[in-house]
Amino acid sequence: MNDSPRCIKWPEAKSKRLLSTPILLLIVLQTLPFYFKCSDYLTSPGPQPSYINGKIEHDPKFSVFGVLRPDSTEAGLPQSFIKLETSFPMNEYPDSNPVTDASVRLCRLENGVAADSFLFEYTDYGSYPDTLFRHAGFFPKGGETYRLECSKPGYSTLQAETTVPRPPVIVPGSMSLTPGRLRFQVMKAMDAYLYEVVLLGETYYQSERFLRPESGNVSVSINLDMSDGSPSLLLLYAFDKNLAEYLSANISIKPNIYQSDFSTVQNGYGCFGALNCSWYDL
Amino acid sequence: MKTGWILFILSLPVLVTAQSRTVSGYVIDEHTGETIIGVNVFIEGTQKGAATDGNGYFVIPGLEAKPYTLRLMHIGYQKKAVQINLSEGSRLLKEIEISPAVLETEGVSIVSEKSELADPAIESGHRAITAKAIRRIPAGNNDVFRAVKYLPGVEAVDPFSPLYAVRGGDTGENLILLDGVPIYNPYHFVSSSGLFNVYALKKVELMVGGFGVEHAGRNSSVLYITTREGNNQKLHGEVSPSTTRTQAVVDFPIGKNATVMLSGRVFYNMVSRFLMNSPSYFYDFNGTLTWKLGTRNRLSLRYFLSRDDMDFQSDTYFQYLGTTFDTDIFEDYDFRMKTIWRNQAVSGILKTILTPNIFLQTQLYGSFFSSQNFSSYDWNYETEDGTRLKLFMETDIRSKIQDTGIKSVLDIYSFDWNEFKAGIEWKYNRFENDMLINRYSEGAVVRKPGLLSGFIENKVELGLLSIRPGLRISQFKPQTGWRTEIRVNGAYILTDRIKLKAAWGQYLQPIISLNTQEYELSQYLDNYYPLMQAEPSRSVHSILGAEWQAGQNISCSIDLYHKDITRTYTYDYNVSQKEALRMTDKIRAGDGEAYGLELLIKGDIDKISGWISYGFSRSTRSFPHVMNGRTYLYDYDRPHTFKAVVNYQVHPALEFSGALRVLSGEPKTLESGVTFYNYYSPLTNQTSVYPLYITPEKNNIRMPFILRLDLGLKKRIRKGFGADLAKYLGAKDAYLDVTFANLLFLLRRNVWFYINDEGTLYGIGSNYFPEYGIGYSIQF
Repeated sequence: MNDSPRCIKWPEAKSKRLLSTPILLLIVLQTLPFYFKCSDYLTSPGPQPSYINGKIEHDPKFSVFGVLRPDSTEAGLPQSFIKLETSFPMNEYPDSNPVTDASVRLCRLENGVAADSFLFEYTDYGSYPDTLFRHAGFFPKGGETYRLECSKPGYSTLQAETTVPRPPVIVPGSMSLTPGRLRFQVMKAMDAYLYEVVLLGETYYQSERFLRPESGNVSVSINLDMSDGSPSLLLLYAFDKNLAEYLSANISIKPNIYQSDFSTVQNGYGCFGALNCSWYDL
Repeated sequence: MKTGWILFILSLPVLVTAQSRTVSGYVIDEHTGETIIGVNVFIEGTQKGAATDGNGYFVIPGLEAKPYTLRLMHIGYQKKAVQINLSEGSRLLKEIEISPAVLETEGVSIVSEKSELADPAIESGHRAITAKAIRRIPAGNNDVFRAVKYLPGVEAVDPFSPLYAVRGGDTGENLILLDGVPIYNPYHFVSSSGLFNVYALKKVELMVGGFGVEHAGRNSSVLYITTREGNNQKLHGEVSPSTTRTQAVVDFPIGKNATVMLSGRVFYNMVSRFLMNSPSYFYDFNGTLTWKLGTRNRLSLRYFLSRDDMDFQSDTYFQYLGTTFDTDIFEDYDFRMKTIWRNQAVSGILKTILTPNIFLQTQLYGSFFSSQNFSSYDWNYETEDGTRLKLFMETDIRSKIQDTGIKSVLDIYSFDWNEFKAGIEWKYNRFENDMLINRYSEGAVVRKPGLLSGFIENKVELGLLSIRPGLRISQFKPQTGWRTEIRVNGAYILTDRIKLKAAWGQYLQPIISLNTQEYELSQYLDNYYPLMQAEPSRSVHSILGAEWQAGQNISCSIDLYHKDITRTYTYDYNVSQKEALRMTDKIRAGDGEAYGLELLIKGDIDKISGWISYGFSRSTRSFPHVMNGRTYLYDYDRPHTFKAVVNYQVHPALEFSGALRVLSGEPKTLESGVTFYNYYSPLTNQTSVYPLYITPEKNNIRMPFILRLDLGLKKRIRKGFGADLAKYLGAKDAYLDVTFANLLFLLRRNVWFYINDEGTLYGIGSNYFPEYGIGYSIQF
């Protein structure tokens, strides 16, 4: 019995070496990242931009989201509100940035001239879902135009205008409710640009939005999902131009992109708009 | 009247009857019967000669009525001499067969040979890559679009997208032709690669600027892809199986005069399908039938088909993430991305030799593209302090394009100093665009423009100087009136080794693509849109270049270019909220400029081949709605680029290859401030918010430079699984392909974007780990 070690002949050895080299290299390469702490590797800043050119300091402005609406809560309180915040620099990142001490004034305009004035206050009435600027006696009407002015020392005065749409009206005789589909037409109104249809039932909820066409009435056709019951109430909302534009805009989650002022207001950001509402039993 | 004079001058040489003799013919591969592009054909004892064009056809006019010896030379083939006698008149030769060189020493290089796209004798900026070179680029995935990004003047738009930008142009300004048929968005979404199976390709050529009037409709570049005709001697093929992707090609003769080539690829992501319940696949298919009709006519029928299908739903994935990271943040997060792309092209090409001096090519074609890209995010989360966060986005972008037409091109070789070309094209387009944003759509808009165009160009050689003026006229309906484009190319032989070149040309583009790269995480395709009423986008190219031979097998070139973008358009989602939702209202006109320098050294020395390039460039844009019209750096502006591809062929059974890219970072917008976007429910009268990043400056920073090194190895194998499989299939050879990519990963240079956290920028890239690949290719 020969116990001497087995010798590999040269061609076989060469072949083995050639085939094993890439595999060995692969193993080494694949394990390299694990020689570094993952936390260091994945969360350290890494290479920074070679230079920073131009203005990157931020000049804070008001950021507003205000909605005027004629309807009221179940308690009879007005639904209109002005939500006021400020923009903030990139490196200060609060979840919200509410402004509570600004002067928020609404003026009803007639032929471009202020006819009435309402001072909104930062108030929690207890029954509202959010603490915002509100006015207990403010009930706008369809067709009225309002100007908003928000001011606070250190900030440019934010200004914006909106016209409250008239209540949306379904064209008489146009409604057709069949199993699985609801159709009707909304009479075209010049001051409404976007409609939202909300269908409610005991366990039913469905919501869809429709843009106003260039000409003619708004044709609404909704496929009903009856697996969650059936709708018994139809709520029809009409949005003014500002809200229509703001709510139908695109939000990009991509970082490092350029977005010009995302705003329907002057000297600030955000939206000041209005809506009106009608409801129908089904 | 002015146009009339130009037409007269351009066609003057044709009006003179040629009295001299001409010799012409096809040159083919002795083993496969395929025509060969770029064979140099010289008349012994004279200065006269020509190179075979994209059809493998050469013409040498201006000869006397006597016997001559033709000498044929090509780097990959053995030399050959052919005796001809022109005493009795001009000769159209039977196909001349030449044999491939004994050793397979063809390396990787970019070559400049006369083709259907370009005439490198007078044009600069022409780069041609053989299919073999594409396959040798490590980590190139056998992909045309990854390969062209190694060429000077061509830039990737982001780490994942197959789109590319040329010399400061937009991605939608690149004309892509498959055997002369325009292909729209020839990309696979699923693998972020090109549609074209490199196994089916003969050559890929790119003109990065200053191209002649034969090709039009795009402002930046023309990519011309030529498919193989097929083997007319025997059955030949190659297959590369792998766990996720299989590609194959087979070609064979039918009778004595016809050949067929069929190729296809299939990709199926099994991990996605079985672990995430999300189907994800693509396939593509190429087929060609080439039929010789006597010695004067060749008919080719070509068909191309591809489909991508992906439907990603988040449920399984986020459930996995939530469990892994022990978080409930994904509980109310719905995300779906559904993409269906189809591409189809069919064409019939008839090539006719009317006389030895006159060559006519007529092509009937149809190109059909459709895409549906649906994505939806719906995320709701309430923080501990009661703040309601929300993100809702839903887009469904649909596009259908039909491009059908007929074109004829006539080549006339009147004298050895003159080549005249004229053509006419009629096309009918149908564009259907539908954009559903956040569940609103105005429905599909169908536009049916038509195009009638004609061109003439005349290349004249006056001693050391060559000049080629060209004129193109076109009418883009429904617009009225004719538009002209004048382009001139010139070359001057300074010494035996140095040639100077210049080009100037006007370029019009009547269709534009929508810029969605600031909205989509990665823009994968161009949504094309015809300018029915607006003026076409327009640019003017001015180019100065020089070429010189630095050695027997090393050539260098340098190009200086300036592109005056006098009219361009953009379409941006994020600046359009004040507009109506119709696309026409979102298109904004602006202008721009691009200029630069490109140095290219290419060589094939013994066992080493490849190319090295350096590019300097600058590109800017200006739009009235962006920063009040102030000029800003263009999104793909990279001032310095260094690219190298090298192949070392140890012997025919073993070769190594490497690819290096060092690129300046691209401009990006570093946001300076944040506001909140409010989602609003009129029913509850409540808002939910999502942070909205804002900045007064576009492209105010430049990203870090990019560094990437990839290495590859190809070895013929005689043992193991691949060899056994080859033996089982009765194949000739089996090769092992090994790729080591992203070897400099520890430098983490390929930053894609930054996230700012309290003033510190955290780069998010695509290069955290090295990549490797092992595969077999089996040839039979």
